[in-house]
Amino acid sequence: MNQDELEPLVKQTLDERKKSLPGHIQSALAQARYSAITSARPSQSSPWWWGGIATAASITLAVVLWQPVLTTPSVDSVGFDDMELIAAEDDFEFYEDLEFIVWLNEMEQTG
Amino acid sequence: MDTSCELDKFLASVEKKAYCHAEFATKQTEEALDIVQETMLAFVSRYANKPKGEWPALFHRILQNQIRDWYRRSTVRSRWRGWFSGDADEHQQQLQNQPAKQSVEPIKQLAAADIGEGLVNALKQLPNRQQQAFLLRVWEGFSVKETAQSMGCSDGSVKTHLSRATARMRELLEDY
Repeated sequence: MNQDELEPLVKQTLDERKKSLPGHIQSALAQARYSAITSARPSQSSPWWWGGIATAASITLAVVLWQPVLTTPSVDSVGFDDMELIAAEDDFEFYEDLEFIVWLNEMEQTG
Repeated sequence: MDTSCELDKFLASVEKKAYCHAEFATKQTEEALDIVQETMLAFVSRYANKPKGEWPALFHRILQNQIRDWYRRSTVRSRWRGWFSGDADEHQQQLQNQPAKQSVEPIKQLAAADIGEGLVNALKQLPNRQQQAFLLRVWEGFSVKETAQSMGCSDGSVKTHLSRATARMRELLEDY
């Protein structure tokens, strides 16, 4: 078989083979094509910065949800009021004279 | 026309030939379908925005790369299998020479059968690079330059592969 006979024969044979592919292969090829095209759609409609926006929104939400916990009065803030009372000089003297005040009160009632 | 529709039309026009390329190379239906699917996915994700005139060459470049990768993977797999089964050297040699040194006899035995079947069997016996060059030049009608771009080699290599492929095909089909 010479070159001039070989090439047309190859083309004809392969074209016929291509046209007569079994149905299940044609169906698998169509499915592969569909998958390829649909896989491209999300990337076209969803630019890369959508991910950034979603992340920023999540962080903002997390900060907002944590805020009330941070502003709730803590045990330390109550203790601070006690310390203020104890540290106040006048009040401390008042507590030292408490027994005298009670005795004075009793004397007034009996007297 | 929307890009998805154009892509669908283009892929539908090349998918059957692509499958035949992959099937000649792998000789396995499932492997060939996987190669075509991977090619389509890679093409759509990387080159869908390129001008339509460049699509055929780009698609074939991906396809030929996928086929070459498949050969590499299957060669490594077979080598490992050969080592574990204890006849590594023999197996490796068999792999390297598999398509080229197969006997011409099976084709001759088909002399009475359909010439088309004989031709397809002869094509399947060509070594990978010769088969690629032959199919791209003869079946796809690519120029030497386009074939070289798709195969990722020089124009000279394409001519060498094609010349050897043609000689081998004529040898395998001498009885027809």
